[in-house]
Amino acid sequence: MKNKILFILFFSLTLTLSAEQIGISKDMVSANIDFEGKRYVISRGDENNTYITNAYSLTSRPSPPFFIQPFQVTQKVETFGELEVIEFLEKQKGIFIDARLSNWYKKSYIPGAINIPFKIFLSDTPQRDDVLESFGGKKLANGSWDFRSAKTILLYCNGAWCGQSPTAIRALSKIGFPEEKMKYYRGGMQSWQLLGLSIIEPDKGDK
Amino acid sequence: MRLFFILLLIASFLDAGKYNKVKITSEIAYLMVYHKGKAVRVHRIQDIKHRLTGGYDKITRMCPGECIQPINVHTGVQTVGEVEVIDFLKNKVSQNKGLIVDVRPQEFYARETIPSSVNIPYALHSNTTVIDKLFTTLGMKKQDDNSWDGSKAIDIMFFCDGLWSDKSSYMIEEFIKRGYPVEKIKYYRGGFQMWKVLGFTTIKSQ
Repeated sequence: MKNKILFILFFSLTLTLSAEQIGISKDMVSANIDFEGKRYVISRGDENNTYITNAYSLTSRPSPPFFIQPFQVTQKVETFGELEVIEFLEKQKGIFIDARLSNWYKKSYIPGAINIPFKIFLSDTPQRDDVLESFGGKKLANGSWDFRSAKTILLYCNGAWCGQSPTAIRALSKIGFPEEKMKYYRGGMQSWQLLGLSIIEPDKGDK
Repeated sequence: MRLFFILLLIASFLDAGKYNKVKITSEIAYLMVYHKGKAVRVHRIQDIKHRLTGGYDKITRMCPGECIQPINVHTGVQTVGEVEVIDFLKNKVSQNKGLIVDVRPQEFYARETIPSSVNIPYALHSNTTVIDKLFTTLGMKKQDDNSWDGSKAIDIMFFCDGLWSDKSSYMIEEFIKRGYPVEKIKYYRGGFQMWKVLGFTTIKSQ
């Protein structure tokens, strides 16, 4: 009896001491991502109330250039939500691309994402060739591309009002990259942070 | 006479231009809808310094309870974003060919909601009397064997708080279980939070 009381006391004490971790989904509290030789944990933080106050709390951005993007970029490019992004990263299903300009990426990005600014996809340059080859594409003698063994790529940018990743996807589609091998995370940095999901902030010591 | 027309043209141009600073899409700056019989102009907040406040800026949501929802709620049910919601309000709801439903509790709907939406709290999803009545209103026909004929049913779009809310999914599952045609159901996953995040017009209680 005494032991039982002690146990309950101990148990309730540990509960009050540690702020409870918020789950991602019903079956997942956090996810481990292996990226560039390091392990990152994606989680939703703890129960201490936080609010969005950074640039992503701004509701209205001047148009042009900012317009709300359609839910789908093209019919065959699948749109992902956060759970699908996390599964893609956990199971290492392909290349995760932050399509924003590098000054944005340097501030903050989603763990597992490499930065390939959308502008690279817009013109035929040696730089673009390198990127496409890193995806598994092969440039043919006539200048066209063979993407049969290309990896699947998942692109995002700042969010629903950002046209950068859709622009990159359309440009890739134009040169024959299979739409079934492209995924679009429309919620982007904004939805990711609204949900409290982990980001990497290089300026704040994250690496 | 010609001058009058030119002035009228300029006046309407100026009025339309009022919502051009922060447009919805490249073609659409605003649209007119009806909410409870009153005409409402739906646009985005034009102040580019405006920030999200008032509850929907809150990040901390507890899961279990407020877990992140998958992108698809049910096979065959189309998930949509704001561009498709706008199109739905314009071409379906305004023409009585579609219904947009806020499934949040009544007090949330009363406080603030998406223009032209109606409120069917998700807690009513298992109430057969309510659903039967609703189905009839939506153009469903009850057959002799008690099943529903959905061939004349109108399109219906559901939303709730947003990415971390499963309220829409309860209602959608129930609709499908009872025979509503899957292809006539749409899911606005971003929900009221994303509507607020993007600075859209809302209906507030007076």
